[in-house]
Amino acid sequence: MRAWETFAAMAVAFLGAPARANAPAPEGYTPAVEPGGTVEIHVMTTSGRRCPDDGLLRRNTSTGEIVQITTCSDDLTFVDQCVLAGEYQYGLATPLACHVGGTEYYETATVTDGPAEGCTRTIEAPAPATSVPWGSEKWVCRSSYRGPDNSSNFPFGCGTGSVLGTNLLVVLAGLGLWRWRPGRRRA
Amino acid sequence: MAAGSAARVTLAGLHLSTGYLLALGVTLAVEVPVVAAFYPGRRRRMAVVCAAATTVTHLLLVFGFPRILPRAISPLWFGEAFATLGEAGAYWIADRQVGRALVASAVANTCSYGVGLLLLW
Repeated sequence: MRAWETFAAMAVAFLGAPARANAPAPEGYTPAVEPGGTVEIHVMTTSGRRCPDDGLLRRNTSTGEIVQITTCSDDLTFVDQCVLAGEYQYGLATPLACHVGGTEYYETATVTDGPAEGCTRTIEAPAPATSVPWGSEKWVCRSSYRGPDNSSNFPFGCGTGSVLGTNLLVVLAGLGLWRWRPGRRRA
Repeated sequence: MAAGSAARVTLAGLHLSTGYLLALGVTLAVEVPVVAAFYPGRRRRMAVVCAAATTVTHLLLVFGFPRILPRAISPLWFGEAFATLGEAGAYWIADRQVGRALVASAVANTCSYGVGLLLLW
């Protein structure tokens, strides 16, 4: 087996849900837990939505407590500080729209190294919230060749058809140019 | 993203999750041999060009266009089209055959797009 085939096989074995090549990425969240109870949640989306949007919700999976976070460190990253040790679900208050690459309602982050006593926030404190827009299902929709992708707000669509159609046109144009060579003379 | 994707690398202000880095790896693993196959006798050189061009377009696709494009334009469609044409431009610069460059790029990007969807399915 060649090196790249070995790599591809390993990637397929390890990737699971987050796998994507030059394909529509799953839309969702990447939490990064830092020491001292700070959590940064990067929103992975190609929808054009920007932090703070309608806020990010944090739900404690043990107590059910829900708060809303509105502080951003960049256009797509929320910051949460002084988070006590525990397991939390983070997701936008207005869920990401279903995307052909699959879309998450939330991502789970586990804080093991909570804040020191007397932790002081340098950002606005989260506001209490009453509910999250998700239930037990983590996915708004899963990636599929077959399913709709709710992309009607895009003039060119957001689906596989528009991408592959464009590539087909490029192939046809390329084949035409490949066959036609300026200056080539017939006998 | 899976819970295991929490680890990430920050490079030049970009948050590169392990999921992203693996995705880039899969993209390169698919596209580099496809492009090289279109250039017998120059496979190694074109493989390097492909790897460089694909890395740039992949970064733009995931991190660039979603941030700068107006909402009326699909970053996915625009990004994929840009990737195909941009990589073809790189192959043309390296090889000076525009037709072959377009075909190689479009076929390679279609393959990696398809593999990505299959992995997600």
